[in-house]
Amino acid sequence: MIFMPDDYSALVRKAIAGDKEAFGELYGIFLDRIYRFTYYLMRDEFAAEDATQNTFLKAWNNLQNFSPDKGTFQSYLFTIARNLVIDSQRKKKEYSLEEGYGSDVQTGENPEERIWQDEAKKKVHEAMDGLDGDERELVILRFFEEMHFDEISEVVGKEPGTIRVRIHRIMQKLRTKLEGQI
Amino acid sequence: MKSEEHLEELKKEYEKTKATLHLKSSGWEELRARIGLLEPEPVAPWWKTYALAFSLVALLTGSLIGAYRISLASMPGDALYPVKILSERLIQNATGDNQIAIDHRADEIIILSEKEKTDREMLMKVVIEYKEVVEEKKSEIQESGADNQEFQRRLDDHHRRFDEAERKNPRIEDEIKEAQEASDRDEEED
Repeated sequence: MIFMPDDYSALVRKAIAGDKEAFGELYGIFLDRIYRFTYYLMRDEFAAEDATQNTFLKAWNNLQNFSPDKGTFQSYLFTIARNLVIDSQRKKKEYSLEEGYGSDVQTGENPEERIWQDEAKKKVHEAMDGLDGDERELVILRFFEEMHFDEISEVVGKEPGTIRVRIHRIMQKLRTKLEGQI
Repeated sequence: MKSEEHLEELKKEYEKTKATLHLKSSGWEELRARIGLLEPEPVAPWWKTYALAFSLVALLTGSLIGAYRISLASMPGDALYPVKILSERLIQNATGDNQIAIDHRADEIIILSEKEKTDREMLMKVVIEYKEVVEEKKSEIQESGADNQEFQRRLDDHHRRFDEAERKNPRIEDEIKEAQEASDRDEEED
């Protein structure tokens, strides 16, 4: 499945041609999404920052190998981010996908925004507690990031049909949990 | 609240999570610097390096040859005259023969004598130098006992040209006479 929104396909082409500024614009477009993805898998702001930066660094370095005909740029980025998270968790057991809880650091946002974000994070964390790492990444990719099954298939390396079934079950599980909290 | 509504609320909460201020403010600049560092310096292909070196050597050689060729026509006082003298010394050191210096001085005497307003002081200076280099060669031949036929043939040629120059410009008779004496055959050689 080829999914290439027109709003950034031109930027991707320019970046492949070596245009750093175009890649900078892509960085701006995807920064929050990649950060959120890595953060909710690692639950550590420092680790998520590192993973985010390394995702874009690796994406740039391997851009010559990326072909828009073989997949979308966002699935390319999320695949790199996921692999970096897995590598990081292998190196640091405390950041395990299943049970890892890292440290949230104060990074300079104003206190009100910080409280507002912390509250939001807490709710998301609570909702996803009880889901294992694989389940969390599928919920994020499908439900929060609204990615197509084919794209998720590229990111996690499993068949779209399998993913569809798994996500259906995970969402059921999540709904049951949320109903219990209501 | 139904679970679907709760899920939508959860999605909104998820989207509230933004990249850290550090990433927002300086993430791209830091990454840009790292990208710049990682990019290898463009390396010229090996043949380009050789081609450049060859071009430089060829240019330098061409310049030196050009300067040498131009200097051959230079006269005392000209900018390239030292190049002419230097080249004579190099050739003399390489071959052990100063014949080229003798020929050059003879040519200079002829050229100076043909000028409408002959610089007699300059002409005398060149004649003295001619005498010196001729004497130097004569001494070498005498010491080594080498064959001097070619040398004598050259001197005879110089002598003939000096005679002709004197006929054309009798005012330089004194200077030319000095040169003629230097190019005379030695009595013992006859």
